[in-house]
Amino acid sequence: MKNQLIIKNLSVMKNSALLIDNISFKTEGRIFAIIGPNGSGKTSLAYTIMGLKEYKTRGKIIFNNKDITKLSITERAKLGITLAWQIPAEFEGLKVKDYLIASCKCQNLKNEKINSILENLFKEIGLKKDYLEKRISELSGGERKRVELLSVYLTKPKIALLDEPDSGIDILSFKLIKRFISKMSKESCVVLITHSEELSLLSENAVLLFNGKILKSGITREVIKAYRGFENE
Amino acid sequence: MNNKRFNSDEKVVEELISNAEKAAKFSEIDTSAIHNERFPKLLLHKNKIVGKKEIDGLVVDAKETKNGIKARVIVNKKIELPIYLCFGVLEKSYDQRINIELIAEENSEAKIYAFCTFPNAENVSHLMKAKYLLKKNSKIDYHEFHYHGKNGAFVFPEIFVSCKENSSFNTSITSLYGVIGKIKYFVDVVLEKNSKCAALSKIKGSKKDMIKVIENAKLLGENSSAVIKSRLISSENSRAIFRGEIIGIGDESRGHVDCKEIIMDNGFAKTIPKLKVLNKKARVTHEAAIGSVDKKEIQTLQARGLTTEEAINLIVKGMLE
Repeated sequence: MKNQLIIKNLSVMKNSALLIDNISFKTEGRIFAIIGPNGSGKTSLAYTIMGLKEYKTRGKIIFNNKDITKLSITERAKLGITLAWQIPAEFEGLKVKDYLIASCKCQNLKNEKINSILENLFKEIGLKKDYLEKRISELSGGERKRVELLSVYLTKPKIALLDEPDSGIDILSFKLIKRFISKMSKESCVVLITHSEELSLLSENAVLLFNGKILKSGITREVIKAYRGFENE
Repeated sequence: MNNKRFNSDEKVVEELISNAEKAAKFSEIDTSAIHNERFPKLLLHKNKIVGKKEIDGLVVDAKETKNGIKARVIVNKKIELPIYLCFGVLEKSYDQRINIELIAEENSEAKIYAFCTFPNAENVSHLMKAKYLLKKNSKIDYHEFHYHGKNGAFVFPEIFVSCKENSSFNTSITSLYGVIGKIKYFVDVVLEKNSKCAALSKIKGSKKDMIKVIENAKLLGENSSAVIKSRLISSENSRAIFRGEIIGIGDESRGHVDCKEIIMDNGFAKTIPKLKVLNKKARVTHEAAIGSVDKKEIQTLQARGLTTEEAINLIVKGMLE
């Protein structure tokens, strides 16, 4: 399968704490969900797939038949993997426009083209055009989150890891985010890391993580059912 | 450097303007306007006047003396066009000395861009002493940009400012490209009733640069206010020291010192905000931070395909803006 991530016997440690314990799975379909309660290891798994150095690994991460376990963040990004952080960086002083232009680096676009692309995308995600000139640090949490999603989209990734893309998003904007994720999935494989049942139902397949282990994997509805059952226990 | 190359003032002016462009790179300043004859300017190369243009509302009286350049600039009214000052040395060795006095008459207003450029410096010093008098209701924006080439220079600008009632003084120094050498930038502002001052220093040190920025504001008058802000980057083996001092004396006077320094490689940074309040109705605050570039910010940009160096450059650019 094209643009597939394969996790093989992966264990992850940080500061001598075991966060992920020998898990294996493959991403399937255009949207794949990793679900689980707080502290189950979802974000640690996303960071590990992205290649953050502080997460020590055993096992393998394979992307498009290539073992990427030892690659740096930039090397993974150049292969087409990127991540939208759950809590995006503040970037004191950096303008939204400069951040997004940097995210377009791989596309080699001319400035006029970038401007028109950004203006259209801003409409789709519910941001005003004049936000381009704002500083990221001046934005609210929800606005910053939307800029983060745009940044991921603009890198044209093969795999977009979206860590809790709806956190800090108001009810009205949630629909826009949901629509935007669907749009993104037409061009990239999206890996959703989420608590939200509604969002996870965008995917066909999912895994349920708990205490760093996979409790269930398969069709998303079945996985959610297992999650509910597990919560009720 | 072949000195003959700079025998003609025309060529010197061309070089000064081209280096002004380097100093103000990525800023929104249109340095090409220095060529334009309509724009007021004073262009100095070494201790010689190589260009001058006065306009209605602006008197520029500059003289070459045995102790360097002596200039008196008088702003009589609100001037819409920016005033350009180019102070440069194109040779490898030289001692440039400039004494400048600026008087902003009552209700006058001007924006001044100064470019201090020493592109070929090996043993160049630039000593500038400036006295600015801002009379009632006047407003001066003075922004200085530096470019010191690949080897750096010894640069010591001292600016003493007196802000009379209701006047406003905005100033900044920017030195982001090339090697600095040694810079000691000193600004001292005294503010009377309802006057305001904002001072910003944005300097990036590399190699073995030594950077010292001292900015003082005395809030003498009622409702006077000052914000002193610094953004210094100390990379490689450079050293950056910032001292910002505000003294609150007048009733309801307000002051704030905000200094942030970033250390990279083996850089060294020290920041000293100093506050004094001599009136219980005055309020002076500060925030200061020294640190490295935020790891999460670097990782975010790396995840977009930027190298570590590209990521740091973008983060620093944002911070310095």
